[in-house]
Amino acid sequence: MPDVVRYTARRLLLMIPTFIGATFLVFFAGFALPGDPIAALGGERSMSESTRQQLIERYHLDEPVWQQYFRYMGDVLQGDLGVSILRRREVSDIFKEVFPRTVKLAGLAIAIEIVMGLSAGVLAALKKDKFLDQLVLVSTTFAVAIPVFVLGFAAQNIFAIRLDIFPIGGIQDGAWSYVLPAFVLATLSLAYVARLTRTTLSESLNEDYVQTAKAKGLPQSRVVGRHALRNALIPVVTFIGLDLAGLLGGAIITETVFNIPGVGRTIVQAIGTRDHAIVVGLSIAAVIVYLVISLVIDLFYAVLDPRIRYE
Amino acid sequence: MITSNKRWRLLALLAVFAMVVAACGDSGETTDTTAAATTDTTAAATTDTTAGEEVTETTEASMVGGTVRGSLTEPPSIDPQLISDSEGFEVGRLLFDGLTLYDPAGGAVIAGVAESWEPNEDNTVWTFHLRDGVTFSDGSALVAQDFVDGWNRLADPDLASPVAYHGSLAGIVGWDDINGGEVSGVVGDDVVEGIVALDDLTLEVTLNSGLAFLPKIFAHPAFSPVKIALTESDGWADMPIGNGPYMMTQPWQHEVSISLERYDGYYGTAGNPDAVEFVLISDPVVEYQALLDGQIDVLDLGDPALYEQGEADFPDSFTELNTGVFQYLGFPTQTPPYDNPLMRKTLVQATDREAIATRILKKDVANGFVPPVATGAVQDQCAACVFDPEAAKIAFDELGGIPGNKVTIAFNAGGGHEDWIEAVANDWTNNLGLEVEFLTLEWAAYLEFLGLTGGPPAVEPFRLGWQWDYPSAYNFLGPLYDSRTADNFTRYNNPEFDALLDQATSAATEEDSIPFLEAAQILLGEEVPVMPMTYGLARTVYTDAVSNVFYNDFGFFLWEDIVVNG
Repeated sequence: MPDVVRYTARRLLLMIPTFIGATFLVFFAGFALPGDPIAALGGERSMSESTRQQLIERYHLDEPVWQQYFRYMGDVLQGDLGVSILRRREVSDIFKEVFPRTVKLAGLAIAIEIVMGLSAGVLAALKKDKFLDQLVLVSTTFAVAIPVFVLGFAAQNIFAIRLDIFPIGGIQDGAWSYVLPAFVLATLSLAYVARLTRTTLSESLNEDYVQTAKAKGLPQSRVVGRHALRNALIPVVTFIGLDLAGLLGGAIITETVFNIPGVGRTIVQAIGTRDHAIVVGLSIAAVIVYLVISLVIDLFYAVLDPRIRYE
Repeated sequence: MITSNKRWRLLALLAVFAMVVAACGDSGETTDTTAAATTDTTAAATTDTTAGEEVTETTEASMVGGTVRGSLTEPPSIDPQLISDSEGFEVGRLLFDGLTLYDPAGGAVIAGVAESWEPNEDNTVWTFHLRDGVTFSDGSALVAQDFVDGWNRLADPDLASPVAYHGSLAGIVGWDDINGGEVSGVVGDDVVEGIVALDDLTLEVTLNSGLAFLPKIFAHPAFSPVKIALTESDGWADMPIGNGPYMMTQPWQHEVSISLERYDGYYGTAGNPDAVEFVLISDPVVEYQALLDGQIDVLDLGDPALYEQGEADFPDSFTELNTGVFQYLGFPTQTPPYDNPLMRKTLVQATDREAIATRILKKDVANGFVPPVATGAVQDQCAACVFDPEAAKIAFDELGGIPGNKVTIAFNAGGGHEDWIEAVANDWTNNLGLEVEFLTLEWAAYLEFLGLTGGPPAVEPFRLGWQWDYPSAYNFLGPLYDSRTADNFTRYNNPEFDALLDQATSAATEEDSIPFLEAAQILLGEEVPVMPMTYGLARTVYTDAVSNVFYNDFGFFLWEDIVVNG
């Protein structure tokens, strides 16, 4: 068996305990929170005691938590994520609605991050201590310093309300709806990517093998692109990969400001109403996504650095 | 309505406004943020006002048409028998018509599907006569059995509706037996004894005891008629079929939008707009941004921090309207020292409620226990409600103060209550020398603290609000202070008060019940089981894309009357 296959199989097996541990934590954390999921249904007024009992029995809330956990995990293995108490909807239906939105938002944000962050980083490294480098330094400082919600509302006021280029929010304009929020979401990571690229690239530009390549008379584009950058990219790829995995868990503030009903916003709202099925169901899905992506990143290292072997 | 963490977002919004103006505005033009925003709106208004005037001058036919867009927070349900919040209510009201309807002018109910009704001599048996020719939006004819089916569905324990208590509230014979009875696994197989269709157009309702204002209770969407077979179909929850002025032609897009179209077969006055679209938005500041952008046309400014901004940005359309809401600080009347009415009185007397209401809550202070928009409300009959810190201190000392000199006030986090609760605490500290602590709980935990989950009742003073189900003083007095009801969170228990309510509900007409309801309120003024804070006051604004915008004291827009400017 090739090493990569054996490595992948081992990683997949290791996911099982990770998965069980993560779901266990999410499930019990949800139940450890004070508050009653049934109470939130009636608003500021009490429902009849009989209705309360009916709902408690329907959602098995009278069972001990561990028993609920095993019942729930049994259902999950059969592809059933449970039913939302407040909304009376299948969590898997809710997941099918919200997850693609988060994927679109995160995907676009990552694309922006890669294109703009990498370019800015490479330019800054090549023009070190020149005007361009200073510009990248100053603008990334701003990007890191401004809170996302301030940036979001500012972007809305300028690009939606005043200039009327983008919709103010919502997802009713298709892919176009995601552009402005993706830029806002990408800003922070973009700044990190730019700085990280600048640092690692300027380091590897000073390495002996790069100097050698230069001395051989290779064109600069080849020296940078093929020799220096490839090595410098390893930490950047790690960062971007983990960032993507994180973003797929939902971007709560951006989703709220731009009214995009994605994973993050949905989970936060469900925590407020103690709608455990939504919280646990969507979190489990997010856990799986995270595990798979981190595996893909690890496999991707080999492509960047042939010295890395999977054993 | 549950909202959270609005304040910091709002601050950010304001900060951003300043930044944007600094960045985009011509330096000589304006320096003030509000002025800049106002300039924009006025400029836009000037161009469009001419168009608006033309519309009003032309024939009525041209007022009909277009799409009006508003915003809601995603409701838990729009199934009439499951609607449990104000957002679902707003949609349900357009999709379904009950026997009676809330009078748009407020305070009363008018004929809906029932064209007339009459009670027997002791108000226990009510006969409703239905209009002929009323149809559901799928074209099928509405018969009295559709009401029977809808109400039996509401009572059915298999539906486990959070609003099934409305039937108990009305006191329908057999309701509690069915609702509290065995679960069969099938919805719609239960029959409540007191609801009978005598023929296709006659409905008879029998009550355990007489209730003069029963027709008001039946205006609630929970009592909507349904075609029972349709409620079992897959699409029902996302696209219920009703008999109201609007209908759904596409399913609810969860967290995105709910779109309604005018139902042309509606028996009543046809709505003006062709379509009503609700954009689903979860945050008040984001809603306001959507209004500025023109994504929505009308908005109820839910967050007090938006009032000034709204008035500055939309000076022509900014409107204030009293609504049927009562906000209060409740005392746990079975827990010392709050079990002593005199102690409760000193606490109320020591609080400068007017300052707190007007400066912090931005509403008029409540000097009674029932909003003036409800029938039978009494104001300014509460002696303890007059701010008198010196008298309060003297009385407080005479009572021997409070052991430990320490009290706790409970409130729910994220609802914007911090400031006014703190102001109450300051008054108690400054005027009575009390040390005040706070107990802040998240919403779901707060409800548990109040005893809503079947546990023990609250043991500390707590904040809460009550929104009416129907426009009568009884709907504030019965649920909140009657010792026999579940929503009496203060556990106030006064046989004299209960007796007055019994006399009110058994009165021959609603008018005859008013003296008893008034006496009950005066009694509350002496005993102060709660400290009244404010009544509901809605602030609404709309853009110049629409006109003829009215808000009801129930807290909803009259969407069907809005004119979309051409």
